[in-house]
This record gives sequence, C-alpha cells and structure tokens, in this order.
Amino acid sequence: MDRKPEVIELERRETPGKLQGLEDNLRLPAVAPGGDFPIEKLVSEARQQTHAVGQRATRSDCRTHGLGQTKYIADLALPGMLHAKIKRAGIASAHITRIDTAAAEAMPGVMAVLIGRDIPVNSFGPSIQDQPLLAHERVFHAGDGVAAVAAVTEQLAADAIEKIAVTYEPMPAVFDPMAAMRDDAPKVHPPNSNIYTTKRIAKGDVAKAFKESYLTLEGRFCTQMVEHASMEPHAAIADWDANGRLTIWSTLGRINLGRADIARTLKLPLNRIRVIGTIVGGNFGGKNEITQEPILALLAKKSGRPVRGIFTRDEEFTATTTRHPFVMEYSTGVSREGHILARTVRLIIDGGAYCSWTETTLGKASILAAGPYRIPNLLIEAFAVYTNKTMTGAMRGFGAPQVCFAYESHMDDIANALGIDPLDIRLRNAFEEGSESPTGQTLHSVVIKDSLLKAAQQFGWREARP
Amino acid sequence: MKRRGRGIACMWYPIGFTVSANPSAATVMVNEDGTATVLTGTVETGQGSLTVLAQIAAEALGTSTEDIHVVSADTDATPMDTGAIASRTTYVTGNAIRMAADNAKAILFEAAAQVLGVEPGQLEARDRNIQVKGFPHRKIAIGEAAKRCQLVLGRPPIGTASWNPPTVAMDPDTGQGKPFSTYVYATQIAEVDVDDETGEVEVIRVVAAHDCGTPVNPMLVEGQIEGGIAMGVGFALQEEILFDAAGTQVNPNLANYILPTTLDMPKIEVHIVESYDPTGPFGAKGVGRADLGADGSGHPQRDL
Amino acid sequence: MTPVTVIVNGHRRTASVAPETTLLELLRDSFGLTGAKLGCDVGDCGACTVLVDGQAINACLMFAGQVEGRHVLTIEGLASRERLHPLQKALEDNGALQCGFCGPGIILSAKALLEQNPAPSMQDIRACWKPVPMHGLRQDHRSRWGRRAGTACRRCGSATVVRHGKIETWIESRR
Repeated sequence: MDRKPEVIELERRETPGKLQGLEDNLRLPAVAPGGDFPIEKLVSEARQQTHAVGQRATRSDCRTHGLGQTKYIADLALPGMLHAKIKRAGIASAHITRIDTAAAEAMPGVMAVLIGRDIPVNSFGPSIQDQPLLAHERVFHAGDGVAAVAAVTEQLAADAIEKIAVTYEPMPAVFDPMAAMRDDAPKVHPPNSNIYTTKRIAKGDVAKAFKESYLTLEGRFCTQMVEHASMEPHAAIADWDANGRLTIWSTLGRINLGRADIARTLKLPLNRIRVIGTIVGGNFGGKNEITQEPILALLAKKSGRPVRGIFTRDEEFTATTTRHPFVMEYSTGVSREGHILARTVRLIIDGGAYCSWTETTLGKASILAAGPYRIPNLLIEAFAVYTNKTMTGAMRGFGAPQVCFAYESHMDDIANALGIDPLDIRLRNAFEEGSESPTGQTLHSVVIKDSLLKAAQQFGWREARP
Repeated sequence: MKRRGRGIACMWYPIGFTVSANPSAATVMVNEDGTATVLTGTVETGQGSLTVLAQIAAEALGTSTEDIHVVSADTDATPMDTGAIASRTTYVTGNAIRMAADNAKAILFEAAAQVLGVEPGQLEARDRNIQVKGFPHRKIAIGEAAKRCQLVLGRPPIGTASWNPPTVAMDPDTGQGKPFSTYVYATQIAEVDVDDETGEVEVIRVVAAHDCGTPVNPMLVEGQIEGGIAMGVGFALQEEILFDAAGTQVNPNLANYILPTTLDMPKIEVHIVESYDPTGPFGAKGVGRADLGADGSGHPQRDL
Repeated sequence: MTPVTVIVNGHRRTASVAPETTLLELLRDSFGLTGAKLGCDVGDCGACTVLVDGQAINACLMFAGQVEGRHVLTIEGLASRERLHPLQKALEDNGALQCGFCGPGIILSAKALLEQNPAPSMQDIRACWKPVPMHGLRQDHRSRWGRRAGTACRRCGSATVVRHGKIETWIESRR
C-alpha cells in the first residue's frame, strides 16, 4: 500500500470537515452525511410505441443492492428477538438413546430449547415425507439436527448447543449408491428398500436396432456432489401475535409450499400462517423447501419472543440439500453415417439421506438423458438410492447438467470413432421442428440446430479445425 | 506443456414441472394515473424476475416498465404461485400476469369506448394511451380511462388470472406422454488449455448461443447465462463435496470447497438465438438452467 | 464492556462492546450499518469487506478494538447526497448485481484497488475480487498491509460485474 505518509498523518490529525475541503488527489473516502435517498431519479426508458418486452430495462433492485440498502433476513430485527442455533448430529447413522438438555436450559440467556419429540408432526418432504425437522429416534446423516436452542445472542445459542448431551448408538451406514443397491446393503430407512424411486422410458425396439447398427459404443460417466454455495445462508424469523397467528420471514423460494408444510408440521390452519419471502441472496434450488421454519416457530412459541435463525457456512454444506451425484451408463448404436439408431441409458443417482427433490430430479434427468437428438429406439432406466450422506435435492438443472455432460461426452466419443466432426454429428442427429421427443411429444419452437450453427459461426469452429 | 483444445456441447431443458400442475396466479391493478401494481406470489432470488414480470405487464398494458410496481412473496397479500423454481417464472408467472393485465385492460377499454365512441374491440393500448386501432389520433390517456372506471363505470380496472402449462401424464411403464409444455435449447463451445503434465485445465473462451423464446430483457438473459457458465466451470473443474470413511464432510467451508473466482472465468460471448414460442408470454420461454451446458464441452475425462 | 471510537464514513462514532466483538458486529449491531454481510464468519468469502484506512479487509476477522481511532469506510459511506459513486452507477446501469449479497464487498474491493492504483490492468481488476481465504486467521492492522480481502460472487463469478460494470470505461473517464 503506497499511500503518502503525509496523507495518512493528515487523516489522523484533522477533522472530517477540514479534510473535505482538501484536494481530490488525497483520495479520501466519500463523506456521506447519512441523509435521504433517492439520489438521482431513474431515467425513463419509455420509447415510442412502447415495447417493454425486449428492453434492456434496469433492475430497480440494482440500486438498492449497490447502496447496501437491500434488507436480507440477517438485516431485519424485531424487538426482543432471540437467536436460534441447531445442534447437528455429527454421526452418519445412529439411534439416539438419550438427549439431555438440562445444562443448556439452565444457562442464563437461554429462553427455549426444542427437541424432535416436541414437534406436532415431525416430518416433511415434497414427495415423500421422510425427513424429520429434528431427528427423533434415528439419525440418517451427519448433518441431521437433533436439538435447537433460542437465546438472547447468537454466541450464547452456539454455546448452549454445545452443552446439550446426546448419546448415540452407532448403526451400520452405507455411503456408495452402487453398494446401497445391493440386497445385502444396510437399509437406510428400514424396512423400505434403498432404491426409493425409479423411472423408465421405452420407445421402439432397442434390441433389434442395436443388431442393425454399424457400430455400438459404450460410455460410463460420473459426476460429483456439489453445493449451491449461495452467498447468503438459509435464514428465517418466526413471530406470533396474540391471536396465535404466525408470521414467518424466510429465504424460501416457494412460499405457498412453505406455508403448507408449516401448517402440516405445526397442525395449524393455513390462514393462521403468513409467509413472507424476503429478497434472497441466491437460491439456485437450495431454498425451495422448509429447513428450520417450524423449529423457529416452536422456539418462538415457547419463549414468547420472535426468533431468528441463520445457518452457519458449515450448515450450508452439511445440513442443506446438495446436487445429486450421478452414475450414467450409455450404450449407443449408430449407422455408418453417424445417425443414432438406438440408445440405452442407465442412471443411478445418489439420493442422500432423504428424498427431498429426488423424484423430480430423476424424472427430469430421465426425460433429458437421451439428449436433444432424434432417436427412434430408446430405453432409459433410472434409479434413486438412499445413502447416509447429505440429502440431495434441487439444484440449478435438476439433473440436466449431469446428463448433458454424459450425452455430450458420449457424442464426442461417437464422433471420434466414426471420424466425423463433432459439430456435424450433432447437426445430423439434432431435433427439428416437429420432431418426436423421447416421451413421444411433438416438439415446437425447436432451435437446437440454430444454436449449434450460431455458436459455431461465432466461435469460428470451421476455420479453427485442427 | 499446455495444449489447446476445444469442445462443443448442446443441450435442451424443459420449462416448468414434470407433468404435475404448477400454476401461477396474479393480479394487476391499474391506478388512476395509469401506473399499475402487480401482485404475484413469486420470490425474487436475484435472477431479476420482478423486472421481467414488470416488463411483461407493461407490454400488455401499453405502458412503460417504470410505471409498474411489483409486489411479491407474501402469502397474506399476493396470490398463489408455485414458486421460483424449474425456470418457470417468465413462462408461467409471465403468462398469468399477461392474462391478468388483459383482464384489467378489458375494463379500461369499456370505459374508454364510451368516451371515444367506438366498440371496445376496436381499441388497443400503446404509449400510455388507449387508442383506436388504425386511427391512433383518437385516444385517451390510460390514466383518464382508469379514473373513469372508478368514478363513472363503477368498476376499478383490476384483473386477476392464473395459468398452468398444459401437459399429458406419462405412462408408468414406457414414459410416453407430454411432460412439459415447452423446452429451451442451447449450445456452448469452449476453448481450453490443458497442461499435459499437471492435468490442470484453464478455460480460455466460451461462446454461448441460447434460445429463450423472445428475450424479455436481453441484459438479464446475458447475466443468467454468464452466471450459469461460472457455475459450470466450478462443476466441471473445481467443486466437490468430499466425505470421509465415516460419512462426515471433509471440506464444509469456502476455503477448501473451491468456488470459481474472477480469475477462473473465461472470456464469454453470449448470443441469443432468435425464436418465438406462441405458448409463452409475448413468445418468451425462460432461460434459468440451460446455461450449465458448459460442463459438457471439451472435457477429456470421464469423471468430472 | 469496552468503549470503542471509530471514524465511520467520516463521522466519529462510539460504542461500548464486549472485547471479543468483531468489526463486523460493531458495524452491523452497534451502528446499524448492515451493508457489510456475514457470509462465512471466517474470512473466506469477503462478503464483509470494508475499508480500514483505505485498505480492504474482512471485517469478521478484526476485533472492534483494533480500529480504535481509524477510518472505516462502509458501502453506506460511498454515495454522496447528490449522486451515486461511479462504481455503483456503472453496476446499476448494466444490471451487474443480481442477488446483491456480494455487492457491497465487490464495490469496496474495487474502490480499494482504485485508491492504490488509478490505472489498473484487467488482470489487476479481476484479481482484486479473488477472495484470499483466511479461514479464521485473525487480521490485525499491522499485518493487513499486503493482505487483501477479495469478495466471492456465486451468481456471476464477477466476470459479469467486470464486463457489465464497464469498469474500464469509468477508469478511462477518470484520466
């Protein structure tokens, strides 16, 4: 840092008022008198014969973001508000034999403690309600919450959860989805099978078409577990009024579903709950179901005060949904000219400890798995498997990026084997207006070839041929 | 030694939920000065949806984007919306808002028709006026019409509507059906340098050509695609949650879970592919997720 | 409780805080300046970036006591009553901030860079936003020279911010 020493010295000595009058080359921070905004009115972008659609219209929230005025949940406070923290299991599979909250409850400043047994309906999930809000008798992954505390400061709440003593009896666990599919694998949610949802798409006659193919290629592709990593962690505030009406401010992206889940878990009528979705610092699919909202509501009820909970960065990784790891096995039969005659796809997705959005992900991925190509003979079989790891849920794409990686890498392999340019083989097989999708749907507004040609032209694909 | 390579990947992505109904409801209220307020249950998660929805409402009402204020995300005050998920907001919520605006406009046209001496069917809304089609000199300001609705007609110009993409259930054994009403398509080409000793990959340049139907706000579409490419670079090259033998995460923090930074970003060129979807609001589809195709391009390994 | 006096955005302000209070907590809880955000609390993400004597640092890694008598600039101090700071204007005009959570950090990191180097290269600009993961290592005002907070952005990887923010154009106009 090369600031002039005399400048630094000047800043130490003089008052802000004096410094404001000095030359600009001192490069002092702007002195804002904390006044009102707006500063400049946003200039109208209305044009002749208004066409609002197609405008590069300025976002009004860009101004509030740039000024630091946007209020996220962590920036909101209610009088008397308490802070909640959740104790995490830290063990992937176990029976809970004992939870002792006495020491935490005895701490000054701790206003309420909650365990699974206190929750009226301790289960939720968009398709299968297999996820508890707080683990009751069983822990299914290391990020499971086992108890929650509300205290007058965040630090106190964090200290209090350390004082909660939980005794676990470890149970067998399974972490690899391929292993979890075997009959002898430990059952994650006994007595149910670990394979908890399957999909199948079948069209034409793949066996016959493979026999007629000039060449058959196989490929196996895997993708890893990743996390949304939004800059803003999951957060919510719960507050009751004197009439027993609950207001929840939350980072949820689906407030009606959130309200329904809160009503179900707390056994409340829907019109006794108000859910307000605040401006969110990133979602990417990770904030589409409830996480702590009913917990905060019960802590608020017990303590008689509003309660706010903000996940730590650690919890963002360990206690919220992630992207499904996929294992994808492809087999494709092609003609000599590179036309795809038949394709089989087998998808095995790591379904984590709870279903969450797995059903949707598997469904979408199956439909997309063959790629945007005209394939008359197709068989897709897909399986989602429980493991004792962080639950896998919705994340930008719902399985689309994983299968795209597979079908496009596979396409390159096919192109390579046949000696055909990767662009050409795609143009040869891609959907056209009116093509039939893998599920027999007639497609409209199909512009995949346009996008291939446009990208190739802008990139200089033909010119840069190696 | 660094070797340069390139890869091409194309993809398709559906808009909305798989088969199941995912409706959006909306209300449009035109004020006495011609500005309007839109009520929608959707949530702004940073993608700029509230701006896009304002543009759709403005287009339908014949006003300008800054005349529209969007109120969102309150179960007490805004109508039901399935939510900001599955890239559905522009398409589904957008259609609901367009229809709600049309319903509000129908009341405005009734009031305006009385003043202009024509049938409501002869009117159109443009440039903050309600004017006669083919004879734009005969017009009345939208605000005037709105005032008349309240004070003369006795019916305020408020319109409500809901919309759901039409689908057909899939056969449980063969999967045949119409799970989505529309799809978007995209191609990305990446140029990369690979160090053949360390295996390190550097993405130099990405050219992206994306279909989103009519782009309601091209600037926001570009922002979404660039954001998606950033996540694609991370997914393809850097990010991974690691577990130990006991099933505990090893790197649950931003120091050891490697996110892409500015220094990892390639040069990006975004091109929007011309397309019009008649089932979407003013031809729009959506863009949300299709941008993660970047991870399919140019990657030589089998495991990401 | 210890009294702390800091010059925040040009104003001398005092608060009485517990000794372990971080600068971030001081700004947000005691002074109500919530522009600096908590993203990780260990200095890995830069969402809490503020300028202390012109240097960009992670406010979660400094104790309130360490800024006694020093100048702290937060996002709230950047615009004047009459106009936005050019960085804020550039980002707004180009729709470069999406969810906005990283916005204050991104803007202040850029400002710190421009304070030190009024004609940075594109590489310098990009580098100013690369977070330097501190992972809990406390910063103090002596060792902060040469350590720079960057700010992570999940949605746009900051390339959008650079391209859309037309930062280069603004730098040219300052020459």
